[in-house]
Amino acid sequence: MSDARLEREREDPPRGGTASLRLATGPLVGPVLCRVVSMVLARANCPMDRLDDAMLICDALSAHAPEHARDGHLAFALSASPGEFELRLSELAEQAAPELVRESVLPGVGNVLERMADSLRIEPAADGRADELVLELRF
Amino acid sequence: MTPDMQLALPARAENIAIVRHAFGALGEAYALDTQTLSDIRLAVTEACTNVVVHAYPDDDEGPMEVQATLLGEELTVVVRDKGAGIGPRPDSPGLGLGLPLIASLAESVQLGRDDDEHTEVRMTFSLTDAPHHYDEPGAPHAAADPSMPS
Repeated sequence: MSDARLEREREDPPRGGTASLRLATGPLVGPVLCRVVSMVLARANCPMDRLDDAMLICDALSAHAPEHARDGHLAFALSASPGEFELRLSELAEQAAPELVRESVLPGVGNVLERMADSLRIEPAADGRADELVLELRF
Repeated sequence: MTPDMQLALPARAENIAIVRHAFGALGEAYALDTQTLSDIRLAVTEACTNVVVHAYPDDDEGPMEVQATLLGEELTVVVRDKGAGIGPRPDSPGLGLGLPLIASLAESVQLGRDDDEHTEVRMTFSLTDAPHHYDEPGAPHAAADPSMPS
């Protein structure tokens, strides 16, 4: 790493960032997803209340998404910038994304994904094999 | 074999903290004992630091990939980059202790390039052995060239 790059990082620390995470369905999904998302959000100066909302989203995804995985793995693409966070979930089975959204209901809270995210959409995956679930949070 | 966890991040110093947190969560999920997890995190931190400091010497920012695979009682961790490879570096800013430290913490270490010509450090950790201490005379220790970058 060059001195100039180090100096730039010191003077202008990054706010936000990106991370790609692929996890085998099983005990890793919940803990790893929550930790990585919270770190990425912290870097983007996300306030505590929205961080809390993001953790509820992660809990809902880790509870329900594994049963909809296409081949035993789930892929998460995370992207944060000041005031904005996007989580893109892929490698879902066919028709799984709408079902996953429907299942994410907590008693007394309602649908966690729909309530906590500012935007929720289902997009065709780049490989055309199934849909991706895209959630956005603004803060 | 498909890894249980794959994490790809830009090779920036602050992203090493994300890798450490991910391994903390992995240790929690696999109920690893504190000393073993501490050794794994330290070795992975050293390998990632090498990527951040040495892999992309120009101002280019490249990727840093970390994979973990649990097979039986053995955890294999691979840290990978798309840099120029591992070699002696006379202007290295570090003390040259990184690779020897990794070798002392892991059961085995392999340095090389994968099929896609990415530089990789492959470490295996036994999850059954009693936790070793840094001053233990019989602690596993792979040979490492001190002239290599830390």
